[in-house]
Amino acid sequence: MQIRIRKIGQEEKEYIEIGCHKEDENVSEIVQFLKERQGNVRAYQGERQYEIPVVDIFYIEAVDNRTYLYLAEENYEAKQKLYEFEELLTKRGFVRISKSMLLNLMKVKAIKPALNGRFLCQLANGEEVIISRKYVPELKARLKRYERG
Amino acid sequence: MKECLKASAGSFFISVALINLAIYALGSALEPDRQFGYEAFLVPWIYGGLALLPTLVMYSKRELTVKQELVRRGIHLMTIELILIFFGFGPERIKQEDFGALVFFCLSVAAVYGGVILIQWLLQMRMAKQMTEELIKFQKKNA
Repeated sequence: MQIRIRKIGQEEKEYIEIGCHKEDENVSEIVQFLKERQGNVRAYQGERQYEIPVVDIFYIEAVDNRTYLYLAEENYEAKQKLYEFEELLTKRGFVRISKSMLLNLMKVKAIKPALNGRFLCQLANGEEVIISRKYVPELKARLKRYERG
Repeated sequence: MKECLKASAGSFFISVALINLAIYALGSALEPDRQFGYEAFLVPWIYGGLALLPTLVMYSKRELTVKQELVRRGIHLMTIELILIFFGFGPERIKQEDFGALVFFCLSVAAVYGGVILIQWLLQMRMAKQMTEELIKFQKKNA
């Protein structure tokens, strides 16, 4: 596949166009990657496929080798692994809070102490998730980093 | 293990300070005229160190449920009580010693234990408050 980049004038809207003979798996992957960069994640509920805006995700959890996206009231299954989401979404305000969970900091209402060095996060939808004590220093460092900009 | 040592160091110094207070309170109540030498200043450090031993042994890497944590804390406190009674009174004195003094001693150990947990909780509350403030600033910046 050839890759060509054409510079356009400021008056034109930026776009990405893929020229292909057939919309196969490779092309789908490229499209998926671009959508994720723009802020959508492909997810599934049963057989149905959805494009979930990253901003709507409260947290991402890995359970039994499957990855689930939790929104305010619904949840979806995603094909990507947790570490892939972590690489993709770290710059979008997501942080690892336990071995199996990534949290969207934009959806956290408050942080409270819990037992044994852990902390509890109260989310905007009323749910509560635990920050493992191992990940507390990382969260603190990330908040300080974000504060400094 | 590193986490355990860090947490234990904090508990140690808090407990030394509270043991000081407990010795003052107990001593003033039970034996107000007793005189001590300089070695008495080491007593809180020794008792604090002895109380630390079960903490190092009982540290769990696994994160426990609330029930498991409470059971663990109960066993932890009982172990500390036994160690401190044994070293504080000795096996002979335990038989002879006034039961009342023993009870006061146990209560003061429990009070110090509770005090350490309370102070650690307050420190955690402060940390949580700081983190929440930083989080709010982050959210405003990125909204």
